[in-house]
Amino acid sequence: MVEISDNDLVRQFKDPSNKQVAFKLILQKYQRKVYWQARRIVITHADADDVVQNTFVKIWEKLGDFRAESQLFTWIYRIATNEALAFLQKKKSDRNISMEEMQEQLGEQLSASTYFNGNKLELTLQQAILNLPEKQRLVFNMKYYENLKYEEIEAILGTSVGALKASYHHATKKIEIFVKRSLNN
Amino acid sequence: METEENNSELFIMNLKVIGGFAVPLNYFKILEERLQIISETPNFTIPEINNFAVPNGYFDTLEANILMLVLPEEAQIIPLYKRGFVKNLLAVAATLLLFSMLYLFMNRPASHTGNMAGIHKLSTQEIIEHLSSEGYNLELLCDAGWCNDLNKLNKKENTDVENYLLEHGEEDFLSDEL
Repeated sequence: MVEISDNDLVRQFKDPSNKQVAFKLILQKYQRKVYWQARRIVITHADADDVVQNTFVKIWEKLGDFRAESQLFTWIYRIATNEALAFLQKKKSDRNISMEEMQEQLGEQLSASTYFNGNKLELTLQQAILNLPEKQRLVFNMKYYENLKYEEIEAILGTSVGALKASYHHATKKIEIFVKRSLNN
Repeated sequence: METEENNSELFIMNLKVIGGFAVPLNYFKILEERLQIISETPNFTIPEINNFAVPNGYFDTLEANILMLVLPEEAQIIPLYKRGFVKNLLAVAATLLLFSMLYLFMNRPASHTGNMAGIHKLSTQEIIEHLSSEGYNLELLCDAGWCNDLNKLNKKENTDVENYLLEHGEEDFLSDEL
């Protein structure tokens, strides 16, 4: 099966007669990527499911105005990231808690989650990632798990490559220290 | 920095992690089917989760009910003097006027008050005596309405003379005179 390029998908989406088909193809191509991007930010499956739904509603509503100034996939990642962060922000506001308390709660949810089957080391690694500041956490996840290039992350987060490299460097150092300390205890 | 980063990155990559985040069985297949509803439903919006319920047709009649409550209020013409802020202004003006009058009364010139008090203490008789001794024209005083008082004064003076003469045995002289 020949994969249709992102440019062709956008073109088809803008054609009213092909809009639904194009959307279905976009859905098939990006739903997993959107899900995992969201899941690593909001941690629980139920919350990630909500974020995925919100993200694709946004894509359906806004793709008609997409001007191809960026790549489709970075545009979709940006929407997913913003939706996930907004979801966390709303949750934090609803519960009237600080970001530190929020991170603590996410860590607890992680270890108690039905949909987390990692071993102790994986749990420690995820807790180390959760302890990072927001920007470092996003950069680490996109670089380490998604293997995205700095230029692509730059397009998604709107942060310069230099700053992203520094964030990733700090993130890996902190994770190493956290994991080593946990292993020694 | 590059080497440090590589070391930390290598350390993380060499962690013997097993498993991680999981999803329910067939989740992505179901997700795709579920999300296709977005493109099949015109003007699809995410239904808001709301645990509170409202009576049937509540929102259909809500607008009309609110308008009924609001519109009569809007049609009323409220005179300016009945409006709250005008009333307040009037009250403030009245208070200021009262206080300023009180202030003027309390702070009127002290010398003026003293003179007035002095005048009130003098009787009409004393004034006449004073004026007589100074040689003022009696006719003029009479014209000023003090005739009766002048007569009384004269009578009093005559009575005093008579009493004096009686006391000193001059009755006969007095009778002859009469």
